[in-house]
Amino acid sequence: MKYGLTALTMFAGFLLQTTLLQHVRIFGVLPNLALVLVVVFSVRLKMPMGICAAVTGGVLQDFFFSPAFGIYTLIYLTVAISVSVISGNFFEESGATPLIMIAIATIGQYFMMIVIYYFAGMQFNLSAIFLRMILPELLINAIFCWALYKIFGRILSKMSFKILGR
Amino acid sequence: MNEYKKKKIMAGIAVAFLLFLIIATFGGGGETSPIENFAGKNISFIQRGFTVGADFFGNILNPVANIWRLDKINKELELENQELRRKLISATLSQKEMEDLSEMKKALNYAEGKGYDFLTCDVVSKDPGTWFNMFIINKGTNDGVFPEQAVINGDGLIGIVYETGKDWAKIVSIIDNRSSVSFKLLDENDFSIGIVEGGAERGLSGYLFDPKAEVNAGQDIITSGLGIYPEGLLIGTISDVIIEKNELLKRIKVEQVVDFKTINRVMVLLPSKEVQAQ
Repeated sequence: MKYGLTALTMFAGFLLQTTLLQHVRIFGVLPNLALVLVVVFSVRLKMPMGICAAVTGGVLQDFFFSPAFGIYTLIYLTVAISVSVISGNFFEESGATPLIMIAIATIGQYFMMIVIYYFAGMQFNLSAIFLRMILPELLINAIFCWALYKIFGRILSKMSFKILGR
Repeated sequence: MNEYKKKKIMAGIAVAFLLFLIIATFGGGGETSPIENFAGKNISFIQRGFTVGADFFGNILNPVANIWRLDKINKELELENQELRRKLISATLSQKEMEDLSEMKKALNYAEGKGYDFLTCDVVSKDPGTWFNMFIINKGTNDGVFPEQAVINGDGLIGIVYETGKDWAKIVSIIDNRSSVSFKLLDENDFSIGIVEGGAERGLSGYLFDPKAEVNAGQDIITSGLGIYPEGLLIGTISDVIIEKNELLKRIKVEQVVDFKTINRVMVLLPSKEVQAQ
């Protein structure tokens, strides 16, 4: 059931991001809800749930919006594993934890994309990517991640860890 | 073998498998697989519902959120309207203006004699990321939509059909990283051609093949007909011309005419029945 709930949350997140959230672009950039949820699941519920979230979110994005199947799955999977491992050294209830983790995840995601697309022969302007994509997305993701992290923490404590079985 | 080693091997296998998939499927295009078709058909249906709801609330809230900006635009439009009225009274419709209008008609490609039919489609969902600029429409192979067909709206060129399912299709917009369009200047005396490409800079940039071409900011560009896009579709307006001493080519920046954030309905250019019959 806990895996089902995780997958369902990712599915709902995907629907929101491709439809409703298109209206809340800031500086032309959308919050990456899938990445935010992968980070929140990986920190709050550790690696297995993080991987489940990563695979669900990644496969959905690969189906619809990727130039090759597997790119988003690989990126989110790497983020989930890395964040699960790194966040073990942080105090979970600290407000800084989700911010640091989403910063690592966002930069890591772009780093992987640049590497993959470089080998695919695409050309890009790195300074434009940093200024117009990474920085605004980092900011928006941080706001969303901080809010969802807190909300998720409260839901977990109210559920007394029974349903999600942490 | 301990648990840690097992996990490492499993992670390695997963990464290798995903890398294989990425390499095997890179480039896309063509028709989608049966699994993609099934997922696409059902999920697009739900997404369409979400999009309609989002657009409904967006249309109500946007004017309220932009009230100051709209007031400014309104005043600017009033001034522009007065200016246009003055011009209209004094203007005579010369031969040159007739040619301009004819060229504009061609640019917007309202299809007369071009051998195309229009298929109007709703945008079901848009790319969740910032890297690419794709969206999904609610028409597919069942309606005659196939890869490499041009997609437009009333303002001009939007992009091209990338992959198709039976009842849905993926569209790559011209501002996407992977997009490149051959253009010519919208000028009755100068038909210099070049290439514009999308990129991370949120607009189009490109170059003219002829380094001696007279090109200025404010000139409109249209598709040249070379390559996969039909001739005469309005792409955008040149916003900047960059001449670098070390380069032979003239580089340009282009502001696209279509607002990609607000498109909800597009038209796919299909070969007309007469052309198909031939």
